[in-house]
Amino acid sequence: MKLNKMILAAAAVVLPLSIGAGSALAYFTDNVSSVGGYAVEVGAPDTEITETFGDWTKHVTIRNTGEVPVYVRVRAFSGGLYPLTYSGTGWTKNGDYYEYHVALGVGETTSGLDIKIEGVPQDATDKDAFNVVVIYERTPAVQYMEDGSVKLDDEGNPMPDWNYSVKQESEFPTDPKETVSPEVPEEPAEPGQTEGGDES
Amino acid sequence: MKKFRKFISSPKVTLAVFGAAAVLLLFSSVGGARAALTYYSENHMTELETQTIDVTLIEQTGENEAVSNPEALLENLIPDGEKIKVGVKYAEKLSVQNTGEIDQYVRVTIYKYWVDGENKKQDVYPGYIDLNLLLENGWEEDTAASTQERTVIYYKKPLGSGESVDFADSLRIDPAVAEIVTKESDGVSYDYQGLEFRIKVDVDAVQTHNAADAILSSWGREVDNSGADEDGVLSSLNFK
Repeated sequence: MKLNKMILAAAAVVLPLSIGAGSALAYFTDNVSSVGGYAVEVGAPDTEITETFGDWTKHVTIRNTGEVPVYVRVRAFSGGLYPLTYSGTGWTKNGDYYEYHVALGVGETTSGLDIKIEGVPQDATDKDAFNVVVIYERTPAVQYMEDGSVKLDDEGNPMPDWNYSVKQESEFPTDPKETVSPEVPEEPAEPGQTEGGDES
Repeated sequence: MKKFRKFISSPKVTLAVFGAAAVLLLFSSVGGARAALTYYSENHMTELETQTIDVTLIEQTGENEAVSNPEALLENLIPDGEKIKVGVKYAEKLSVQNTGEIDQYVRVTIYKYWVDGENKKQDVYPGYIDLNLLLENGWEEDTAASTQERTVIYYKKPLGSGESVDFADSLRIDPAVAEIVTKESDGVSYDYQGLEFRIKVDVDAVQTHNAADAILSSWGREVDNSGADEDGVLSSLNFK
């Protein structure tokens, strides 16, 4: 009986003390937070390609339908039997591509570039044998260095960076008399890849 | 009944009842006085001195003055009316300062993401938001807790009262955002056109005494406690 009383007395002392034990285990901490950001304007460069075909020659012009000036260039692929020749004012060969010599302002159109299949027999009827793929690329005319300056070439002109270009693709028409207009490929672009454009 | 009436109306009873009423009235006043005394006794002033922990996020954009605990990050990154140019590296210096009275360990969590209006975009790449971190200043990334969107870094040493340390110095939007397109029936659309990038910085500080227990309790991370001094302070954090 005496022991029970002592236990009760001890509990009476310990229990009130234990009320403060929870707060004693808390640690000194502090926190601060902030958030912010900006909208990104890519500039939405865009081009529209017009192609006509006749006399085994594709006649190409490109119009800038975007919101910023762009550089454009063209390249074509064909089988080894029938080489291609290029001709057109303002188009200059640079590596594997023919580049238009100046940045294309908003709403402007290039002069024509003629791509001709050479050595086609007079009685040619197998149209699949003349399958030629044409690649078009555009890239914003004004691009920036990390320090904020515009990328310039040796002559002080804005320099196109084709690492950030968008490709468009078309094929010669199976019917040489047909006039083609761009259509859209099925595969979507993956992040980080340079892909896109039209196929006809 | 007659006896009862005679008893009630006797002067002795009347006096006794009157006395009882007076005593009861007095006791009620005493009770009120006691309550009043109890009330005032709980407001006695006591002077106690406690040490405080306080951490501050400091931001300096470009040549602007540094701002402590900015309400919004990046506010003066570009002049009014201008737009962010992709590819350009903007000066964005971010630091942590111990503005409290005791040493502290510091953790910084950086979130990078894109929003369309108020909606967070889940199908775009946070990696194109390039906040250059200065891990060489004594920070260590918690790779287990970091993702493409979230980066967690710890300052390995205790940050003394009044000390500060930088953890970022520049911000750049990767020019690759200008080439990510989705093909549509009438051409292509640019996935990042008009999207808004966001950077969120959370800074957490915790006491250095009993470091292992404090960090485990506050941040949920176990640290190697083998090098702790008698106060449980670690000169360098090494996570298990």
